[in-house]
Amino acid sequence: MVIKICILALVTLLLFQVETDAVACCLSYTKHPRRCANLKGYDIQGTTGGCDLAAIIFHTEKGRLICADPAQAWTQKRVECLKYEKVTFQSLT
Amino acid sequence: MVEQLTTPEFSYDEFEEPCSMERRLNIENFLQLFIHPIICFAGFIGNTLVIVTYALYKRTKSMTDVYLLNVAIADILFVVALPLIIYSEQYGWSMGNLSCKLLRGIYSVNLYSGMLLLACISGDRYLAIVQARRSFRLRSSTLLYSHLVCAAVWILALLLSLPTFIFYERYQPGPTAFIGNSTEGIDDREYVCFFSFKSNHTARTMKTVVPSSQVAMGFFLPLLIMGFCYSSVIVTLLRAKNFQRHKAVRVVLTVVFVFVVCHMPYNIALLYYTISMFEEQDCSHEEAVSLTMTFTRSLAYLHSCLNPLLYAFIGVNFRNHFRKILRDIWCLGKNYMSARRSSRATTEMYLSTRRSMDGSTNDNGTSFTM
Repeated sequence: MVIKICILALVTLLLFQVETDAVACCLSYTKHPRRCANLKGYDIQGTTGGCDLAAIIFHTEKGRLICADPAQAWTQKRVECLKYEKVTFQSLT
Repeated sequence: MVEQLTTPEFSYDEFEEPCSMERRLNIENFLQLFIHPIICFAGFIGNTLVIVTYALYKRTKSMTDVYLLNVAIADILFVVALPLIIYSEQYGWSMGNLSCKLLRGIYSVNLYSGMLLLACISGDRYLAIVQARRSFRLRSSTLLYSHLVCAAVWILALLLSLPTFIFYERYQPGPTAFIGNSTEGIDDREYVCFFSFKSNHTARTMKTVVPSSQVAMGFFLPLLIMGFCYSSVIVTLLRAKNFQRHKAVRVVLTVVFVFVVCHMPYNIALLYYTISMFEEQDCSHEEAVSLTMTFTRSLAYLHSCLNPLLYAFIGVNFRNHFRKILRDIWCLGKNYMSARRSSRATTEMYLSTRRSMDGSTNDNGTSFTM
């Protein structure tokens, strides 16, 4: 009887547990620069929280995420491009 | 624009995407819901029995008693904090920021104090056996010393846990800036309780210092002390002509063996993780490292429910006291219905016989007598 209650409790715990979003971190950088036209936005991954590597996460038009090295020149160029061209374009639509 | 959208994307570098490690989270969830509750339950029962035995039947008289009681207190706080942490993790730390800081802090304090107290016990046994002649004279004043040592251990554990109290925060993890139209799900992200720093510099320092101090002060220092004390103890015991020496040696070896088996894997994994923390990694490699940490951490948790068996119940004195408790509870239950008064008299009689017996027993090296 006690065992049955325990199993029931565990099953309910499992069923009602909140779906936790996996905290995804960039662990390495892409070696292939992307064109600005293929990107639609970016996030900044800092090191002050759970992640240990500084990175720029580009969002591609196809919905993929790409980790880029913030120290690379092309990364900074794409960030500028997205800031001044893409974003204003998107906010208008 | 349309033309560029249809151009195929690169698919040859696999590790360009953020590493989500869902498999690790699933396994961790399983451990937290099925394995850790068993460890916590067993640890709670075992350590409660130790504390109750000391509280009711065996006033702490020797250094060993004081240390054993403090280990039991540290372990019980640990196994109470752990389910609360698991519950909070499952429900996004809904109890707020203070619960995050307190639970993580208490967890850390008891981790440190538990490990350091085990080193104290080895030191106590070293004094009792290797320095037996010298400690015999000191033994009357050592009760005070052991209280002072325990206080020092708890204060040290608190100091070592200060970074946890200060830097753990409840927050929504994720990117610090968001540009573009991909704002989906930014507000319903689950809260976590983790390190949160104001600057990158403190982040880098504390992310290295905290695990390093855990490995150094919470494992290697106690291991070093235990290694020295217990090897001296074994050498002395093997020279002695006591017929029970082999049992005592076996107890010492078991204590050290279990300590190493439970804590060595996790601490080595933690050390490896800390050393390679700020370097670029493969997702699969990182996943393997965190999986190893998850499993070895459960092994380390197991130690808190083995401590009562390894330290308290292995001692013949302690087992006798515990047997008396069981007998008294049995008598109490049997006589409760018929006559309350007489049952109380029986208990009092048991208590008085116990005390008179205790007066003649020698508590030196309690935990060695099997």
